Amino acid sequence: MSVPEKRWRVADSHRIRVHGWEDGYTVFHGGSGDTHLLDPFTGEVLSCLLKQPMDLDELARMLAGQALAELEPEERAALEQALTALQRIHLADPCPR
Amino acid sequence: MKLSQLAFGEVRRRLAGPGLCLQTGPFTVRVRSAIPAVAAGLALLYAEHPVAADEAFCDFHVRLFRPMGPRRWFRPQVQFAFDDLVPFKPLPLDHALPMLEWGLNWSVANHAHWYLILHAAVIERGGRAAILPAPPGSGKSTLCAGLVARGWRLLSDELALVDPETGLVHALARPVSLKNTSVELIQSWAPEAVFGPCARDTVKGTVAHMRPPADSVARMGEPARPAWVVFPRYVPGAAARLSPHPRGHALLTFAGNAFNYGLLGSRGYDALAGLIEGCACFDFEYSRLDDALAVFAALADAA
Repeated sequence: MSVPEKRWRVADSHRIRVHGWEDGYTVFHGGSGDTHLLDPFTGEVLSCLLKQPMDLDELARMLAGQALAELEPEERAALEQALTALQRIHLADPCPR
Repeated sequence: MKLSQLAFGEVRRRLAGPGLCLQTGPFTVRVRSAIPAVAAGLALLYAEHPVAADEAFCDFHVRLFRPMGPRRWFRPQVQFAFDDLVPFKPLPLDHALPMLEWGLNWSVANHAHWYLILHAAVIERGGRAAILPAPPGSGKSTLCAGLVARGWRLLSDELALVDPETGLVHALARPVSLKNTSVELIQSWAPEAVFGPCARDTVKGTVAHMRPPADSVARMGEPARPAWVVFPRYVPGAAARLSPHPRGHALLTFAGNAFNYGLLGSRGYDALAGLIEGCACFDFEYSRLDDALAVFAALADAA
């Protein structure tokens, strides 16, 4: 039996402000008072997670705007990297299914 | 009544007694000091500013005085007080005027939290404001003074007061602080401009203040809509060059150099994002004020 992918969420999503710009996304976290500049891809990932918690496959589908057969290793690595970056600055964390 | 309409003796009397109540933009400041250079400096640099009555409500009460002690006789000093708070170490007495200006900046930046306060110069033309944020040494005040001397309206050379409700920037119209070689540069660029005395060997080198143009003071009640954010950089010998500055990065830079961004929380972020959304953002390299004037004129004309 395969282990289900863990889901990711934005904690305190109601305290997050996001703006998209030509060079990425600025994010304000009302809890910490920190402001971040995210690269466009990480900003898109955060915008998806603000809608609802998702696992990697769900995130990839939402980012692609369509159903995907399977994640390419490169795509998976990029998503994991973005999620790790968001976790490092306390904007996203894994959550139980 | 303007300060220039008050006899100098009366200026000194008020300063040494109940205080001289000056209006600078949205603030009324009560200044008290028995130091003659403060009276002379205020009479010169704030000549166009309105004076309020002795009993007027004042937002800030500041005082410049000579600290007691033996040093008073062989190395006289000046001290700045806000109410009874003394926020700085004393400075040499002949730095009294710069100390007053720095103290007034400190008073606004530390108390007027109904504004988002950015460390930037602000000038206006045709109802649109250009905000010039920059670290010391970038030529921000020089550029600001140069443009103001050629018809741009001065809102501030140091503090951009952004109203989070309206997004408008409010004017202070206080003297422009120039340092070192910029003093002579602007004196020759604008021979008609009025300058206060040079204070030498300050922490910022030689400092002199340029009186704001009368029109800027007369219109200091008019806020302006921000239209441009320009990050100036003086590069010796460089041709004037305006290039797009990414707006996300601009927001982050502002957040880092605002005086009270952290204090305002999400209100500060929303105000800043709204400001950036309404502005075109640029980097601007320059070495000659003539070139800078032409670039800014083109910017204003294209709007």
